[in-house]
This record gives sequence, structure tokens and C-alpha cells, in this order.
Amino acid sequence: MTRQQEQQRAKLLQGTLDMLILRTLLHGAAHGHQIGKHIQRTTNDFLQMQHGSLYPALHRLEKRGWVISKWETAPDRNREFKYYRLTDKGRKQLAVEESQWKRMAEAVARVMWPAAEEN
Amino acid sequence: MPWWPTGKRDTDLERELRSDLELEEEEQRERGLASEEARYAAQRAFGNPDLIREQMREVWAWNRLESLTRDLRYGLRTLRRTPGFTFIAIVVMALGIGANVALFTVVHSVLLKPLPYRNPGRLALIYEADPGHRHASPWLPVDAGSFWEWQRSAQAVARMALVSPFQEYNVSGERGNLPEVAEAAWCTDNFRRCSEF
Repeated sequence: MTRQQEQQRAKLLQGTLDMLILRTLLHGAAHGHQIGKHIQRTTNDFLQMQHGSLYPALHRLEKRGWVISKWETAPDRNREFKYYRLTDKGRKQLAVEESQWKRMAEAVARVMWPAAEEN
Repeated sequence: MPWWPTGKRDTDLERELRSDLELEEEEQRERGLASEEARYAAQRAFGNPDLIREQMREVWAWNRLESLTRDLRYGLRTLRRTPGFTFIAIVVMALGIGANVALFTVVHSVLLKPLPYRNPGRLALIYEADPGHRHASPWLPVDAGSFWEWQRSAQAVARMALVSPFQEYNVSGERGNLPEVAEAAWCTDNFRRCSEF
């Protein structure tokens, strides 16, 4: 794989992770650990990412203004966690990424299963 | 790092990562692992914290500043180790800067600085034109008759003086000096008053 391809792949994965995080935050505010657990659980542990890798993504989203963060006490544990919350800008971004992802998935599906399209 | 938010952000970042690790450890313990094992499991689930820290710093772009100061330090150290090269480099730069400054000073005083008159923008030089192209130069000297006529008709709005430049005079030498040719001009007696307008 050339370096450029590698970068493109990393970008695609990164974009996907951003989208998954934004979608998870649609349920309400959550801290990094919860987001990671939610993604793992919902994908039946298929996305076995190490949840540390969420934090650079979360900070990237925060820097772009798509989420905001605040230290708050967790209701079940008597301890503070850094909670992330979706902004209006983040909501819009989620819609954009979702439609892009859908278009790509449809395009791939049409190539992979042409018969299903015709039925 | 001489950058004030760094410390605050750094502690915030550490606290965030630590809170995640601790929570994971707790959950692993609740699942029945021994405390030592739980810690390792949590670290495995979390990933390489150094790498993550690095990536998070990159997001906030402190790294660019950090690497800048680091580069500067390396540069200074290298220069100190090779004094000959450093000396030559400094001399070359000093000469370059000096030459530039000298040249600009000349350009500034000759070309850019306005003339030392009160209203340099309102001074004008008048020629007679040659629309028929019968002469090599389209700019012709003004004859005295036209000048007096123009001066009289423009009396209310402009002052005019007549100048005849490029007159060469011999200045005879004194006390053993050689005689020289001096550039001079003739002008009407109101010439100085025109320039002070």
C-alpha cells in the first residue's frame, strides 16, 4: 500500500469514527468511556478499538466545535468525568457525514451485489 | 513549554485519561478479576497512553510550537559547535543587510522622499508640445513671448517662472586649482517664490 493510500484509508477510518461518536452523542451527553463501550456493544464487539483512541478523536471534534466538554459528577459513581455534548454544529455535521456514508455504502453495494439491485 | 494554557490542558488531559483507566479497572474488578490483573486488563483495553497523549497534543497543535523551540535549540547548539561557519554566516548576513540598508537609503532619498517644497504635488514643469512630430523630441522649450502671455492669463490661479537649465559655465581655478565646468540655470526673479508656493 502506498503512503497516500494509507493516508486515505486512515482518513476514511477517522471520518467513520467521528461519525460514530457524533451519532452516539445524539442520545445525550456521555464521557469517553461510555462512548467507547456503547460503540463496542452496539457493534457486537466487532469494532474492537482500544478506547484510548477515542480521545484524540473527541478532542478533534471539540476543536472543530462539533462537541463541547464539561467535567461533571457521574450519577452512578461518585466521581467526576469529562462529559461530551453535541452542539448544533455537530448535529449538522452528523447529517452531512451520514448522507456521505449512505451514498458510499450504496455505491459499494451496487458493485458487490448487482443482482439484488435488479430484483 | 513557554505557553500558558499547556499546563492547564495537560493536567486536564491526564485527568481525563486517568479517569477512563480507573473506571475500566473498576469494571474489570467488578467482573471478578484480581486488582493487579484488572489494572493490566484496563491498560490493554485502553491502548498505548503515550501514543494517545501524543495524538491529543497534536490535535491542539502544541506540538508544532514545541518542535519549533526544539529546532531552535538544536540550531543554536550546532552553530556553537562550528564557530567558523557561524562567523562566516553572520558576516555574510551582516553584509547583506548592510548593503540593503545602504541601497534603500539612497533609493529613499533620491526616488521616494518628496521634494523639500511646501506643496511638491502642485509644482509642474511646462513644455511646449510638438503634435506634428516635426522634431525628434516632442518636448520643446517655451519661447519667452508665450511664457509672458501664459503668466499674465494664469495670474489668478498659478505662479509661473521661466527657467533655462543646462547652461555650462567655466569656473576659473584659483590658487593652483584647475578650472572647472559648472552646471547652472538662468531663471526669472520670481523662481524661488514659485517653489515656496
